[in-house]
Amino acid sequence: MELNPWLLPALVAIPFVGGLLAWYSERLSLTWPRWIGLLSMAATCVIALWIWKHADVPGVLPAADAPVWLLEFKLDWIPRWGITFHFGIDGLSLLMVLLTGVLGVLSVACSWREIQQYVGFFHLNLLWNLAGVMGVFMALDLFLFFALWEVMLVPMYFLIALWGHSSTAGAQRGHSRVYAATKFFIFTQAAGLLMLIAILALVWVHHQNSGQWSFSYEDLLHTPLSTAQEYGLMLAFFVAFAVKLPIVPLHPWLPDAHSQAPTAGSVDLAGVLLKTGAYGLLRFVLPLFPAASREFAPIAMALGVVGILYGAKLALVQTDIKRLVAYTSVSHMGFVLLGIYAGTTLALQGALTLMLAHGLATGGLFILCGELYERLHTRELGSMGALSRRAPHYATALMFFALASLGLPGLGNFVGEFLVLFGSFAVRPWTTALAATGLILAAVYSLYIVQKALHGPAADTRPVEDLTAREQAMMAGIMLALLILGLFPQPVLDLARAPLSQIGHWYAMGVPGP
Amino acid sequence: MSATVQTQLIAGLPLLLIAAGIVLVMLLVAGSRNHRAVAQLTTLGFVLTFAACLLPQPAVGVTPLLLFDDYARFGMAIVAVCGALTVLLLYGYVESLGGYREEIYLLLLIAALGAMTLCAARHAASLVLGLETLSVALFGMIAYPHRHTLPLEAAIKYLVLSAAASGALMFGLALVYTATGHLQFESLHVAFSSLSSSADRSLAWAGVALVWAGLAFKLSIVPFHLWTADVYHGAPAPVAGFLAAVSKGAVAVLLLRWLDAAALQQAPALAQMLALLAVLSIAVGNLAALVQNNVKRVLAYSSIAHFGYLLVPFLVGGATAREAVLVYVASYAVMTLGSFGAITVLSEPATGEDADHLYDYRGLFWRRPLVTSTFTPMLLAQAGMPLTMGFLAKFYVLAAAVEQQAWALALAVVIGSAIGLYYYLRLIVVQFLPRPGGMRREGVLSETSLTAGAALVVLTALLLGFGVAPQSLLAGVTQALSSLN
Repeated sequence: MELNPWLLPALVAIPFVGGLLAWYSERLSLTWPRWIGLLSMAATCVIALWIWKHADVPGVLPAADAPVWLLEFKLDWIPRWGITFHFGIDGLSLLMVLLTGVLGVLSVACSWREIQQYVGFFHLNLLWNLAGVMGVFMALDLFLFFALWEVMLVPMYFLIALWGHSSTAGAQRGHSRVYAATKFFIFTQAAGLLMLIAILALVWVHHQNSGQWSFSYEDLLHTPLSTAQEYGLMLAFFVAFAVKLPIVPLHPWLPDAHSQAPTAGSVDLAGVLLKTGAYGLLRFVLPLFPAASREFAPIAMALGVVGILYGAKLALVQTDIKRLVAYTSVSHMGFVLLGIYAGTTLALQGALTLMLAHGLATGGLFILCGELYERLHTRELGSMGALSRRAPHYATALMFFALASLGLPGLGNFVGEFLVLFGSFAVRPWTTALAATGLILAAVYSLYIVQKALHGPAADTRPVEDLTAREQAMMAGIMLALLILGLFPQPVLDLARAPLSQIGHWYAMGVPGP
Repeated sequence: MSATVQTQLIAGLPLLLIAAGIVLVMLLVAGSRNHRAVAQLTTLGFVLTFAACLLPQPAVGVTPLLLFDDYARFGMAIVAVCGALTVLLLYGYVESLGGYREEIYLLLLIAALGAMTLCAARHAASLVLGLETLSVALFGMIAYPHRHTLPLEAAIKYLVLSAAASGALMFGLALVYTATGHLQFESLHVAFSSLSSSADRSLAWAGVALVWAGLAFKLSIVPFHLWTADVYHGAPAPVAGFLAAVSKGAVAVLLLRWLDAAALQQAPALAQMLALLAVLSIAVGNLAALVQNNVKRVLAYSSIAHFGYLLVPFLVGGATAREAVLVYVASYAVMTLGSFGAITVLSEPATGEDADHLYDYRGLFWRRPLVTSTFTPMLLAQAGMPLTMGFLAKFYVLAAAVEQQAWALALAVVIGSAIGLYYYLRLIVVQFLPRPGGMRREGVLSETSLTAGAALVVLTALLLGFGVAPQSLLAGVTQALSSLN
């Protein structure tokens, strides 16, 4: 069946228009924006699943040296510079888009009770941010990619600055939510401008060689670069994505932004925005600069291991549950980085699976943190305790996601981490062995949350409301998704096998000429 | 009437129309004072001028002083659009100011005439003439609310420093004349390269350095920037917007035509000096803006930084760099008029101070959503957010720098932009934070609020329209530049 190419711009347009409608509908009723947000994100999920069902997924590695897209959409935009409005989707993009859609639905759902102020404007920002992320995962023109990359920051800034919490720990140090939002924005945009320079330089080299201005991904893949040029440009791209991922030492924005953001913002940040960094490495850094990336791989993998251990170590000493979860993200993204730079198909598949599983599991944990805050009005682990007796459903859910986070077999994270370690061991055994010790620390911090929050003596005697029907439905949905990913990962791996093995092949051998 | 005279008259139509507008407004004011009629007549004058700039014509030299080609017409079109939008902003502002209202339109037209002369100048005499016409009219405009102290102080400051800058400029021109014996710019290029004695050459380059110093004052490049913050702060908001957009824009257009990288290549020391000044402007502008609590002063310092960015393409040279300058001038005009427009709408001029304290902006989004919907994109554009004209400008500057491999300057732009984000974001977020005491909708629908609102809507449409679909702007820029060389 022939798929309509307009489905791709629709994935961006639906949240965009939905956001405007949500804003406007605020004056009718406060419930309208929520339903509009929920339905528009659900619509993007349906479109993504529809594409998955009807697209012609290649079973084996395509012989061609040009990338193969399941669906493509292309319009001229700025002919003066050879800039096109070019979206394309392959298995990798499709899975990221689907993740964005699912977490979008969850973000709207988890704000149902938390957000009571400026409801319409909140959903405008949330949906526009998701629209930008959708575009980032599909853009095949580097100008378009950069534009969307920057544009998605502005709504995120507002989400943190306007609806965030000013945590007590943060306030003592004079760190307000505006401070956290500004820090996030400056980190990402400064790194982004560095990437813009690199994009322009790449385009300029391409122009020198071919006489054509072009920002197209497929054209730039074949740009011949000198060793020094390739290394320099690779570094600029790497820094931009490393800030997003985040990679130690470019991570300081993350704990502040996460702990200050509203629940939906944290879900969105951890689940989707961090993944844009990993996606950028996979889609742009490895294929565009294969030789320099190979040379850089030992450093990148070492940074990955540092991230794994450092993130886990810092998670262990946190007393704020949301900050703790935020640092575990740094640790998990270290595994993703390790897998990406190992570059074997197995490791890349592991990195992708881990990205999906981390998005779901950490999304679930952040939602639980938010629910806890709504009930107890604190995020300090010390003021919790005995929740397993006071709110048994809640405790079950928290236990489940903590176990997912530590990599229990049968859940998605295990598949991801296992494949990453398996795939990397062949390349760099010692680095991988060191990384594997991170799993022990993961078990320690996950069980630490469980012990502190769920067991022990209660900090006070107030009754705690258990999960409502809406919250139970959300939790059940994520649990189911994680179980499917853990028990039947094959469809996911199949969908992304062609693009991932192609990226791995380019990374190992370089991109053949056109 | 001979055919030559006729083509010359047609080519000079934009200037003639503005001049006719000046006479008509003067007669009208002398006959009977009618604020609305004068404003309408002025707007009509600017619109007709803009239309005259769009007429396709060959390049025509009118006297040795002026050259009307596509390049000049591009600059004049920008001036005309800025003029028309400034009238819309001024209308409500001077209406509530009290006192005599009509003369400011006369001054506005005269200032526009000066700016247009600069765009078309090809002789030192027309340069000085245009610059002085522009400046003298601006003194009057800045001091227009003459019962209040701030505008008066600002006008005096601008007057004194501007006179000093003009002195430097004219001294420089005299030195150049001594060395080369030419005052017409076209022949200066040739004369420079054929200077034989080293004494003549150093004299000529000392002259060019002084000319740059005089014009750098108008562009508020460090260290000639000291007037900027005080003048922006003291001047009435719509006048400050016009000053920033038109006076700086016209000077940049003039500089690009006659004193660009090609001319600077013969004097590497001067080019290096200017590169240093560009970096200093970026640094000083951005750092000083960080600590301001007055919105107009923030915009003033950010404009110093912006013209630091603008110097980069001047220095690196090349085809992209020339496009970059024109794109930057057009974008900056829209962004700065829009920002000052938003301040204008919020101000109550009768109180003697514009709404320029950061606190005035708290909760603005909930009180005056339309103003914030304009101001936020304008600030984001100045910060260089994609899908706005501001990004287009920054994109061009970086493209020009990368093309000539001027990595240090490109890095300076990136670092400057990163610092700049902080104060733009601060200005943005404060509009969304709740204000204790009042979050009700404010603002009343009236003729004056409608005219200013229309100007803001047009500016936002331009900002986003050209940001998303810049092709027509870029085509205009390419056409304008094709008439150079």
